[in-house]
Amino acid sequence: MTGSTIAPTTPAIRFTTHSSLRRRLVLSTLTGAPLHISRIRATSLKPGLTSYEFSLLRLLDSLTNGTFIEISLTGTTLLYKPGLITGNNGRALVHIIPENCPRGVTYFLEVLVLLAPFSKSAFSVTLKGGVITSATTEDYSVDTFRTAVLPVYAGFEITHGIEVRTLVRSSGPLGAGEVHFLHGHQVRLPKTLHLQNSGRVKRIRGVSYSTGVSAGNNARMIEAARGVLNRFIADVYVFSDVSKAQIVPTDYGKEGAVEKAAGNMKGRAGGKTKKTGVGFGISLVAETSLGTTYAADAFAGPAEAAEDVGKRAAVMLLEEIRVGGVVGRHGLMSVLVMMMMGVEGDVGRVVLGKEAIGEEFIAGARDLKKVFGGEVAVRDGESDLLVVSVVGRGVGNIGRKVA
Amino acid sequence: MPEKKRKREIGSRNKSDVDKMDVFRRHFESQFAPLEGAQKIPSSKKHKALPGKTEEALSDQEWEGIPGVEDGGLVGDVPVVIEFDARKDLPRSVSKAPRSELKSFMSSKPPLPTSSTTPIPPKSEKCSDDEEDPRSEAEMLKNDLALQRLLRESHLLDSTSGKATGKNRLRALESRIQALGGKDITIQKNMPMAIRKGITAAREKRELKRRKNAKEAGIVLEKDTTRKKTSKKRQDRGGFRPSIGRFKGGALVLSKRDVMDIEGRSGLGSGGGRKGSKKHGKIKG
Repeated sequence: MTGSTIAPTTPAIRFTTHSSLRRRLVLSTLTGAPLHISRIRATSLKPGLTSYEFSLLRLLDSLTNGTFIEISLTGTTLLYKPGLITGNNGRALVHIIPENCPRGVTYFLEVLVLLAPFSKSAFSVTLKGGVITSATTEDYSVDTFRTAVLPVYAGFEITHGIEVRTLVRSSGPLGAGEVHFLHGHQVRLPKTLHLQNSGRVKRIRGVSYSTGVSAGNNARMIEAARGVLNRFIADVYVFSDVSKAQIVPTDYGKEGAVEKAAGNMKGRAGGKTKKTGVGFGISLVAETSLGTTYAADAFAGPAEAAEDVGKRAAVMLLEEIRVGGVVGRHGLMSVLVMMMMGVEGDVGRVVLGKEAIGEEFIAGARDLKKVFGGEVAVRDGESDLLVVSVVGRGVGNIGRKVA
Repeated sequence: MPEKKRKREIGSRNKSDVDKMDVFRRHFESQFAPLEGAQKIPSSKKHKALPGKTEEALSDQEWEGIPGVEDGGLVGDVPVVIEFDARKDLPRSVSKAPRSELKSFMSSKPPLPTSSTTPIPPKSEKCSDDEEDPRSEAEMLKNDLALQRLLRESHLLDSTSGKATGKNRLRALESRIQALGGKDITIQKNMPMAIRKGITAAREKRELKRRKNAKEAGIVLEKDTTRKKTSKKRQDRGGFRPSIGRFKGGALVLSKRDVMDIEGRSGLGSGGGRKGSKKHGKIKG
């Protein structure tokens, strides 16, 4: 467990605070540049890394070889020296997410899908524990990930052997779902992307899911969403997915409950159980004639009517379509990172809507500059759109000499 | 005057007032020419065709936005209230997504744009099939087959002046069986040789006559397939010859072509007819 073989003399890139920690970890793992992050929630009442950030570090460690992680006693400082992304070919990896994880499972899936193309061997990861497959306030649902984010990678010709199996659906705040992620398409370098036209929206698909509540909610959400969208396009289908709530011990998700049970998971909380992961939501994806996807997610808040959820999702989708661009906002960061990873010297271009470039984009571009050393150029394009061009750095897959 | 009228109409008793006015107007019109000014007064009859809500918002002369409705007499002077509800735009019967679509979209794999575009054409085709165009691919094929069959069996109908008798039906059935490779059961098996020869000769004679007549009349007939083709090559040869190659100087000489025939190869590359004939000539010469 030493980083000496990777980059013995490279000084660590220094960052502060927990903001976009996940992205920084991914960029570091892809390039092999060590990270030093300090002042992680230093002034918070709960200082240091959160449970899901620890979990992410653990996941990264299990998928790489030679990763060195050092965390200070308080958890406010992190030194991360990435190893080679080896994947886990053939050997199924089960990763347990902490029960009280407030983030959706896409928090982890986004990392996996960015790392997997540059792995030495295929990825096969089963995520268990506190898995929330539905949308949360910060993350989109696993359906959006599968139907809208994965097609983004098709632009880089990363298409084969990718699967996201939603084995058990679960909603927040305390999830208990299960997702199996498979990625068998490893490349040497991703293709350079040139996307100028987004095309016109030709169809809208979606998934409405409800766990532990009446399936009628699905029908109501779908009808409300269709009511908004059918005026613009006739080809709207929203599929319905109904599943049961998960039965878990009463103390599920409580801090220290698992430790208290001391390995005896069967009779936890005195054998008393409760239902968890109850809720419903909808994921909508608009696909254009040229393969661009725009997505929107809505999850029911407390005592929110199903109609409102469906309508909210539909309006959000229309908003996304209005923003435009050849990449929806959900897949923007992935596209930028993949373009940076591309063939050295090749300039990739994508056209984005003006509103797609916000705080998140700028922060991402800054991180890219710090880690990769490359810049993201933005200039005015036709019809009120922006052309974003990225020069590939040719990092590619270290584990694969030949494509 | 218009001000007064509007006030009256907006009032709660407007309906009865208007009715009275209408009665007077009709009485007047029955004796004299129709009233021009009074035409604009909305009658109760006109109102029946409108939803109840519009009655309350009456204003006759200000707005002349919709032209040409006066002669229709329906909405001549009433503002049209359009109640917009997005959900009403929904088609009543929400057609279900095709099963293939469901499978491709709800599978664990990401729906690829290439794979997703393929299921769309059959769907649209199906839609058109249901609604307007009855000639789908399958149906066209079916019609085509029926037409072919009819053409093939048209001679049966012809002989009986267009009557579909039971005998003809059996004949048609028989011809279909034969087309599929069955044996002709109508043929007589046991027969004196002389009679059989006579029959065959007569058939040939008939056929020859038909061909001759057709040729004279300038009708193009089908190719004669009954007569066996005897290869010229074989006929020309005299004396004893090997079945392959030439016997020369006490040795069997095989040309390139013969070797290829033995090996089962057919010339160099994919030679056309011209190429073959050339080669043929070469060997001969």
